[in-house]
Amino acid sequence: MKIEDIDFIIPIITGTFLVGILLVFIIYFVLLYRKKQEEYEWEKEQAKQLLLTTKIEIKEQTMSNISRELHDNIGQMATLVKMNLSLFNYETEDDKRKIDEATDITDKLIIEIKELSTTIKGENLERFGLLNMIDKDIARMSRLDYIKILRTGEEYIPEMDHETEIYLYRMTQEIFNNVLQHSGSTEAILNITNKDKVLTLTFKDNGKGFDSNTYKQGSGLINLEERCKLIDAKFNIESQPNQGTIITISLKINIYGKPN
Amino acid sequence: MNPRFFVYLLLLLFVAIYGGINFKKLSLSFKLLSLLILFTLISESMSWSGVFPIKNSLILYHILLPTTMIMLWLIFSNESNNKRKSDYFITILFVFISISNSIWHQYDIFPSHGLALLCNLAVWLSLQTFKQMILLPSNVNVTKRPFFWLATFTLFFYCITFFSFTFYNFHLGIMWLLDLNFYSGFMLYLGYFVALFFDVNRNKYAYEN
Repeated sequence: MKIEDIDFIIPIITGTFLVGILLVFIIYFVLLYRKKQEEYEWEKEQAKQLLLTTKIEIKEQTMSNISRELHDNIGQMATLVKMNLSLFNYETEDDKRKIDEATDITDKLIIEIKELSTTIKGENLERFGLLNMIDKDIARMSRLDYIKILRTGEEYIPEMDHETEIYLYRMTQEIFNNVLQHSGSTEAILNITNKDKVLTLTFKDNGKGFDSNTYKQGSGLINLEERCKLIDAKFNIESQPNQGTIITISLKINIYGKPN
Repeated sequence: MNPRFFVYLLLLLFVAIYGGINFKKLSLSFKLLSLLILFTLISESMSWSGVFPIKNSLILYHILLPTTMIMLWLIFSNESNNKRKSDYFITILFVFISISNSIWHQYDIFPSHGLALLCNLAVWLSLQTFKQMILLPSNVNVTKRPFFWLATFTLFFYCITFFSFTFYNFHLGIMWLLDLNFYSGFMLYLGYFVALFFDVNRNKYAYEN
């Protein structure tokens, strides 16, 4: 081989080698970047969940404080008003009628305060159980005469850990609030089933519905989805304008009622 | 004029116009890149037209090299808020050496030493950008990040330029190395166009994967 040939061959070999190295480097970079990106996404999701959990804990604590205030302070004051009314010396029948009316209203107020205090306090779930608490909410909402809610399905569900019960309970409350505020429904059904180790809550209303593809643009439904993620529950929503809404939450639980 | 050089100038003109039209939408780095492209277009056009009294375009490269060094540093240093002191010192040192070389050493010939420094600086800045992207990933797909294209094509072009000028031998007639360098330059400005495109549309791709 002549020297001139080598002078031609060396640049070709070196050039090929150089371009090869550059290509390998870029491919390696893209793969490494994707791996780092996945880690970044995972960390971001973890941070988001932690923030959400903290927010929920703070909210629970606040609700617990409000519940205590309602029960111990405002409830006591309402009882005091009732006692004072009973000590009132009336002179005419009209006065008596008015005082009886006021006493009745105060009685209702005391009951409402107690019920509200019970339902907003998460700790009461341990005392009454999830289904009973949901039933209390349904009864309280039915008294408002805006909507008739019927609960069907299981009369007993396995006891779950407190945190999961609180999440499920708060989610049903969120659904009830959404229905009351936005749906314009007159009737709704909450069906709770426990089949094949899957607890399913299906809520169906006859309200005005909405386009379920666009609900993400800001509503309490996003909270529901986020809470479901926290307890590994599946969340589904089906709705069309003027055709009501069906919300389904399903959660895998083991034989002891604990989430898997 | 050589037809391929004409096509090359057309490409530069197209990318410069694209940068100019979308100048307001561009981030600071890519505004600077647009200016660099415009500057390159002007100098390449002048080198072709031979407007200088000295009848060659060498003086252009003596000006173009340190300017490109500073512009590249400014472009890449805006990639993140973490401005590296090492980049600053290397750039200042290389610019100083390049200007000194143009004044006292290679003043009447092609500033190959300055070009070698520019190649090294561009490769260094590109690699630092890759590192920065790994350290600070985002939710944007890597192929939709403008700095990925900017760093990739800068790395390829300046590696190939360094390689071409290392092995180029006029007497042996290894002219394909200059062709290779020319086509890699062509690719560089196509890559810059892609980078500008993704920077103009960065909000659109911010939440896509």
